[in-house]
Amino acid sequence: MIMKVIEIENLEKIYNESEIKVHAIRGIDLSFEEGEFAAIVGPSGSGKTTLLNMLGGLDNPSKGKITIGGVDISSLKSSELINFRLSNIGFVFQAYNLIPVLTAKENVEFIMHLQGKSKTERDARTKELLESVGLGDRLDSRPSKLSGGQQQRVAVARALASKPKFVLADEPTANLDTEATENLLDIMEKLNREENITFIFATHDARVMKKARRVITIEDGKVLSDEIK
Amino acid sequence: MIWSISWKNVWRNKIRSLVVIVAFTFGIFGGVYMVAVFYGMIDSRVKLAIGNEASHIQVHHPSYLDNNELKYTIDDYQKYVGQIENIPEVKGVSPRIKILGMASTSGNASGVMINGIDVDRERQVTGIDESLVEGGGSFFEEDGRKPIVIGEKLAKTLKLTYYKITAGDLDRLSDKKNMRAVLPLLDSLRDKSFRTEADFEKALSGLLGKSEAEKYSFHIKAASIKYRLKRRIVLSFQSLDGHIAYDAFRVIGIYKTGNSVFDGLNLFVRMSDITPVASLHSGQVNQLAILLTSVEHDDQVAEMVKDIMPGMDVQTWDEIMPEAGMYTSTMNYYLFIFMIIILLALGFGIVNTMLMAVLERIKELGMLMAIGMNKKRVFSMIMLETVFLGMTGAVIGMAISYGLIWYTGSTGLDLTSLYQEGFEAMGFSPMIYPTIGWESFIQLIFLVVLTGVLAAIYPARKAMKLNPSEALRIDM
Repeated sequence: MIMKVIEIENLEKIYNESEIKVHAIRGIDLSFEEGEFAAIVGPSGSGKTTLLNMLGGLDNPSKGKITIGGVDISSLKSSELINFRLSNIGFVFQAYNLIPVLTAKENVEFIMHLQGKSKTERDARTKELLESVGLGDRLDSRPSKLSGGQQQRVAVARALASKPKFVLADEPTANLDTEATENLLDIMEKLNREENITFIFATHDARVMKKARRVITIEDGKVLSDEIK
Repeated sequence: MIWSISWKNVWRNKIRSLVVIVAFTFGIFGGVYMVAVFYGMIDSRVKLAIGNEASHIQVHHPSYLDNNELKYTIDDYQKYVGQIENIPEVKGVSPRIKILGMASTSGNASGVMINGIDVDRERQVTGIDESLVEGGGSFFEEDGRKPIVIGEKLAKTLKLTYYKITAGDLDRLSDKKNMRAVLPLLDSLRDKSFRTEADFEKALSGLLGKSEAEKYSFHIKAASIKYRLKRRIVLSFQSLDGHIAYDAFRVIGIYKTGNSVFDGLNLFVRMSDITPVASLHSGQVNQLAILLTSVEHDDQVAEMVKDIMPGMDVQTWDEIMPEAGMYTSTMNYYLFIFMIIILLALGFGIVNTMLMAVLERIKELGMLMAIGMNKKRVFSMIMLETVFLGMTGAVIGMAISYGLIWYTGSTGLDLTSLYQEGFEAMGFSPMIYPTIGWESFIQLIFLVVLTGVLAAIYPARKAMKLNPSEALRIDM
């Protein structure tokens, strides 16, 4: 039987900034299974980043429920939520967001450090991951010495370091050229198959949509279509 | 790992961090070194006072100190001296007859403390015998009738000094580089005598002009002062039987300890000369002054002396001169206030710097929190960065201070040409050997760490309160 990783029920999000209420998500029901490679697409302002933030536990839903691996994350306290993110969710950001003072290896290792993994375990996993993203020879380079594509590959390795249940990637290819994008997507797809980790993208990059095996289109905070290839 | 990230973060903006570090370095250095100079002054004051004035332990008749009255004596002192000298920590014991009286010459008169001493024993206890001024005779080395040794300050008061520039004085002055310019002018004063300091100063300012004279007169006066040795001084005081006793003595030595108050008051005569004049019996003295091999044993030896001389008043140096202890404790207090002011200023500088460091890293901090760095860790990371920033400067500042204190502590800081008269009037030596104890150093390190931690709290809280989803949205 295939495990459900994420279940979203009747999700709503209303931002109460000043006087104006913004209804960003207007009732979404979705679920993701183990090993999916899915893209959430839609024009800007459609609510895809908001949805992704709530999936990642960075934002609280105004209504509805998100269950991850059987845990209702809106019931978690904020300190519990941080630990939950640490061990269950990997993040890849548009602007790479690596720690500039640390080397590629240290950036990947960092998250395992927070998890309290042993040095041997950290070393082995870091090396394995950086090799599989094709950076086995750049372990000791700082982010400033790496190209955008290389930095994003380090970020992918970092997202996977904690062996999360799924990875959320918000516009990961927005700053990359076609070659770097192809390369990154190939690597992510490979890791998705090898490690059986669910990848969920928020994107409006056609190259990503092409690669994705499921495309969920959102508009005005609602699911417009959910297409499995 | 947090430690290493924090340390690396300190160096992200090198110039900014260096500015803070340099500020800390100078702040700490300035504070520590100044305190060390003051400690050095106090230290030399205490050493000078022990060596020339108070000794480590003094014994008196229990009523003597109330009024310094001659009649309160220690009888048969010889009986005790041998026993006290047998204590291994004792370096010397000096018995003294102490009489308040008047010294007069043909020129003037002054109230004095007459010290009737056993010359050989006194040499073992005080440094007066080694403090004779140049051309100031000797410490009871010549025989002769009723010799007396007085301080330079008293010699001036009693008009036993005059000023005369000799060829030899000019020679000595020419060794001082900055004096060379005025030497040819001084030649016209050669071998002329001036009875008083005021006359000599007037002649100098007439010759060199007022401002030049003020600049050089200190050294010129020091080089050309001459002493009228062998002059007669009449001492008068109330003897034991109530009559006014007086006797004439001849000046054979003039000393200078660096404490002009002491020098203006204390004169020394032989015990054997003063005993009959004061109608005392042989063996009667007012004071036993005891010098030890080291100051550490003072309380312990004082107890032993109490056992040897029951009923007598035995005091240690800090009881004899409570002001010396007061200097030390008030200095600790000043150090504390002084450093707190410096650290307060530096602390605000750190708050400002760290706040900037946090604000320009909001996005990164948001990312760290998103991927699972908890608030406690974010808080400690910023705290550590701040403490590192402060500690780096503090460690460098302390290292420089320590090096310079060590160096000037062995060579000495010579302030002679600046304020010698002022220093001596207060009983301080113008040669300062800066020093600082380990306790003060540890206290300082504690204060610096405390400043770092306090300064860190606000920026670290600011970082901790960030909301990761909002922080990530910010465009830097």
